[in-house]
Amino acid sequence: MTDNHLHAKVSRRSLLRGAALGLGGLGTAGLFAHGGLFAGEPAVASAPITGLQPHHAPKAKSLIWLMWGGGPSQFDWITYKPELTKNAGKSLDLGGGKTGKIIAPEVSFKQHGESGLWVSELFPGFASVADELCVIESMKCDNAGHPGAFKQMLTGYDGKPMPSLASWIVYGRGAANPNLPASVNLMGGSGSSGFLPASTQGVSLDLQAKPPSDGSLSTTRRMLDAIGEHNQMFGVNYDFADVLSARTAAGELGYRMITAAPEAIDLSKESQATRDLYGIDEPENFGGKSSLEVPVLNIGGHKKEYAERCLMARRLVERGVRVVTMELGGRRGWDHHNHVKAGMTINAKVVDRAIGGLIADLKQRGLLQTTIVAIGGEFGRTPFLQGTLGRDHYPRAYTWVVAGGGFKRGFVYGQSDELGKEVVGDKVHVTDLHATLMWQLGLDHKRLAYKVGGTDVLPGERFTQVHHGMLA
Amino acid sequence: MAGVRTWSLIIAVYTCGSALTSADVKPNPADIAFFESKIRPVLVANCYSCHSAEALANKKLKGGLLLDSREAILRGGDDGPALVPGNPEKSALLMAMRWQGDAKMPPKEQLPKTVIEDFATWIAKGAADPREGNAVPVGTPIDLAAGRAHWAYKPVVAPTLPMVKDTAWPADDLDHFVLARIEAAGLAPAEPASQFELLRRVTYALTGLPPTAEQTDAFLADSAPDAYAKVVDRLLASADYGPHVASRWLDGIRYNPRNYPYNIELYRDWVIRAFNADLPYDRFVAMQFAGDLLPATNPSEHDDNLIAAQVLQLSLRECDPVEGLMQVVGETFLATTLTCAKCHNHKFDLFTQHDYYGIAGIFTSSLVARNRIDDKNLVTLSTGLKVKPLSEGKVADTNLLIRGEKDQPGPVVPRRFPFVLTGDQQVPISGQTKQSGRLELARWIASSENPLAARVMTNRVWQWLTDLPIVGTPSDFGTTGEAPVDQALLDHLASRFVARNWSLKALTRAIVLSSTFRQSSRPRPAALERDSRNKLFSRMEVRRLTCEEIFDSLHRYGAGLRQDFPPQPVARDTPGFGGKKGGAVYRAIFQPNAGLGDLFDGRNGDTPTDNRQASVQPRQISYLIDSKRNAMASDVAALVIAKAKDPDGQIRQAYRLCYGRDPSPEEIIRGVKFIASAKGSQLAMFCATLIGANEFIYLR
Repeated sequence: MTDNHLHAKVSRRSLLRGAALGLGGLGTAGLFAHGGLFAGEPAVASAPITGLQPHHAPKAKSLIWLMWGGGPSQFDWITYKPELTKNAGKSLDLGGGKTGKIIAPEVSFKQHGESGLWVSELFPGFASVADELCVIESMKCDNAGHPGAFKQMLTGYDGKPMPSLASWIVYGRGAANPNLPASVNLMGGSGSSGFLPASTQGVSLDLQAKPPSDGSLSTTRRMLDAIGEHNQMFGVNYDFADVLSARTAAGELGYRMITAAPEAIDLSKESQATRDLYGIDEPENFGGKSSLEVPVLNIGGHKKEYAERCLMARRLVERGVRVVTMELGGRRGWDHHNHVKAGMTINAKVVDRAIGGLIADLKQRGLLQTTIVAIGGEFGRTPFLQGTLGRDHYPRAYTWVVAGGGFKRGFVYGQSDELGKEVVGDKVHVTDLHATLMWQLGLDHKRLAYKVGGTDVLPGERFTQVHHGMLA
Repeated sequence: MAGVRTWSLIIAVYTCGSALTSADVKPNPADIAFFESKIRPVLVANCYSCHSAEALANKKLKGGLLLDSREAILRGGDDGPALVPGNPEKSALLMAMRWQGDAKMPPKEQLPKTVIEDFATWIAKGAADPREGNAVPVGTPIDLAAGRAHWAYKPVVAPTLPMVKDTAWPADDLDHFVLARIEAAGLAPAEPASQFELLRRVTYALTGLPPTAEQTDAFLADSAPDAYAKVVDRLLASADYGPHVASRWLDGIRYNPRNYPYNIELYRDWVIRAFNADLPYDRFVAMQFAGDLLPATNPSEHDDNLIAAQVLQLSLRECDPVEGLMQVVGETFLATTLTCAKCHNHKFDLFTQHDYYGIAGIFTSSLVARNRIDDKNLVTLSTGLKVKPLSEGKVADTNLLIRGEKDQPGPVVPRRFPFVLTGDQQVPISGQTKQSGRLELARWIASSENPLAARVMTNRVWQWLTDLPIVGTPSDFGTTGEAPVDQALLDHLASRFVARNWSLKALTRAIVLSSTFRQSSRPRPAALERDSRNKLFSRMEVRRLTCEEIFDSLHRYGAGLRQDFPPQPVARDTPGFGGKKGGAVYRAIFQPNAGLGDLFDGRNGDTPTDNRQASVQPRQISYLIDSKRNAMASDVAALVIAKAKDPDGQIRQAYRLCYGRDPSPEEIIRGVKFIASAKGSQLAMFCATLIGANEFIYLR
């Protein structure tokens, strides 16, 4: 334990790696470099930190990933299938002796915007930005259980623990703002960094944090310097355990965030007009759970919180955060095996206006060109009935919506058949969506490799491809 | 690029969900005969190695395509259906055999023209195919045999000890298995951990707490050969063992008091007592499934039986309580994805809907299926506390539900256990007893006839102790899960576990006394290169403490941790909760959200989980060093000041209290400089830096 204490030296490799990933190291490295171990001077990282070189000129800088956990019904949202209504009650051939009973969506659809995109009446917020949306109705994943599909939506894989899309992006692109995390998780579950450096993991913010006084700032600086010292001792001969250096880097990032983060998420400077755009102060008026006609799984009670965080997401990408993730629903909030309309009605009221407002706000600030907003669940739901007026999990053909970042506008990509039962054109596997998002961020999934046990591992499958057809 | 394949688990495969099932056409016998003589042998000989359930299990499946059942062949792979019955020219299979498209199959050599013509003829005549695969309840001997050939479904047989070159290294029989693989890879195990590291590791592994400096001194001074064994026995006998192990067990049960009504905390407390008493695992399982049906000789035993079985109430709040229960039974006790078979036959593990409803019928025959969340019909224990009652309900086999839909009942399914685990010669529950079958289920789950129970629990114990499971998917031993990195090691330990009367402490003791466990976490350079993911167990892992361990480590100073259990029901003003200054607190397992679960990756109480994340977050450090939110640093400082007045002595005491060791001379110099260089409560601030650093929450 003690032999090496006197000969400790900083692992340049780990510090530089941490720095490259936007997770710090710079502050510590600077201090060690000029020996000011106890001087108490704040470390300033002056230049933006970048990850690897992009593989091609990026169209987008940031991704806002809005996940609806549980599996929303595409048929009550944004995938219009009039044939379901015409054929309601009929039996649907499920490929042989088995049949299902077709159930009509209990919502009406209208066309919106110049593009004439079909949107359900439950989602007026989406309708208001219809011309910005690229609707992918040919999504496909490999797993119809929540845990596997959820994991796959985040990582591309439903089995092994792999890095999340967000971590791959951070690994590839790094952070644009050294004082904020490259990847921020604002709500719910986000993926882990898998075998990628621990510093590529999404970071959650202390949403209650207030700007510090100068005194507390210098105290913290002194303490972090001492912690860096302790960690350096403990890390001798442990260069391979990058979690240890990542933790020092996390402390440094935390220091820089002390000032930067409260400012980034401070909504008090936002105008009432902006707040209204997101519907922050609009009451959540579905009457509360007790007034529901039927008991149904839902995400009620989170409207204000969700809208505020959508606005925070805008502020974060504005300040150079690479990836913002929000997930609402867990595995249950959108899991409408019963009463799909009732559930979707409540849930739409929670998220719809905020997301519509976010897209409109990004647009009016010129940020939508370089920011991708991606919305969807781990799978969709069946065209046929399950339970009482419900729909079962459906991984064979479901829908994601993408806006901004150079994706086509007011556009439907891919095709499912008239009943939404099978993909009939431009199948988009989960890993295809990931690859296409990465492509817009300047990353080529076929070249974004990370060495694991001597082998290059890439995100995606062998068949994974970028779908240029959905890109403008 | 080779690595890409190894990470690509399953392609275009539905492991669960509303997928489609096979056509129901009755082919004529002549077509079947043609298939059997001309088609099947060709498929078996040329295709199955890459396109079958077995290939999938061996991770050799290509193109997501299975050709070993009619259903699979029609469903096809990544590129769509393999054939269109009646239309050879539109059948991808034939195109591939003719080497006409991108896919040229078999890849090495084209099959003879006559064979290809046979396939064309077969497809043209409708592709008659009697191979039912997953489309019908398992019953066909071939399918069952294939399913039972999966490693996890074979009986546990104790393997013979492999030969090793370095015969001095093994301290326990299990080390032979580990060393044999390390040696076969041309590597050597890591150096032994230092005595200091070992004591810290084992103390956390068995109690979730660090050793005190005094314990460390005593251990380092004890030169007796059995010094370490004495420590292990002391720790296993300590009352601190139960709360630590229980916190991991409760992950799999998705224990979350918010989701359960009626003194469910009593179940948690029972688990703690059961682990401390080393209740044999088979008994532990039996009480949980059928406590109310077991005899009791006194009121407290009767109470325990009822309390243990409260686990069955865990999904009371859910739409389908039986499904929630099946998930825990499937994943936590059996490491199978049994719930996938609720709506359709499981695609790859040969679990059928009959298997699902065969077990579900046991629960629907019990009162638990009909309990509601209300205050009615509570039952009073001898202590005066009330819990939900448990008893048999209306005992009957249940219908399977087509696609899981309540209004689409299918045939009545006999209550029984999955054939792939038992063989098809099983006597249904109704032939064994007039009861629901919970008792039989409990006995079967934890019996040596069930190939899974011992393997699953052994793997969990190994994982809890080393942070590195032998089977990387501890709750999925099926064909979609990972294969064990060392099945001989797993089976060796599992068979010992059963032979030692399912004693968890005996299993634990063997593991922590092994040379494997006593390795350093520093890999040898060659091992870092060639065993970078530590699949050979050629070192121990650097491990972050769990949220419970961190909470308990933080609160052992000041007034300290309470040794007792909180009273039930907990009144809002019960002292001992939270980290507030003054007054001892209950251990993390008793705290809401394990004390620090939000910050340090606590239990997900909504779904069974089999591992804990160890995230790295800036907020974690700010919490640890923030004296406003965490009083520990000032508690430590107070203790330090009580013990030493001089700066050198104070720094020494601070290290001993926080890290259980003396500081190096350099550390003393730095520490003294720190506390002298600022105003205010420098000492507390310094202690906070020790707490905020890696050494406090990482084990080497």
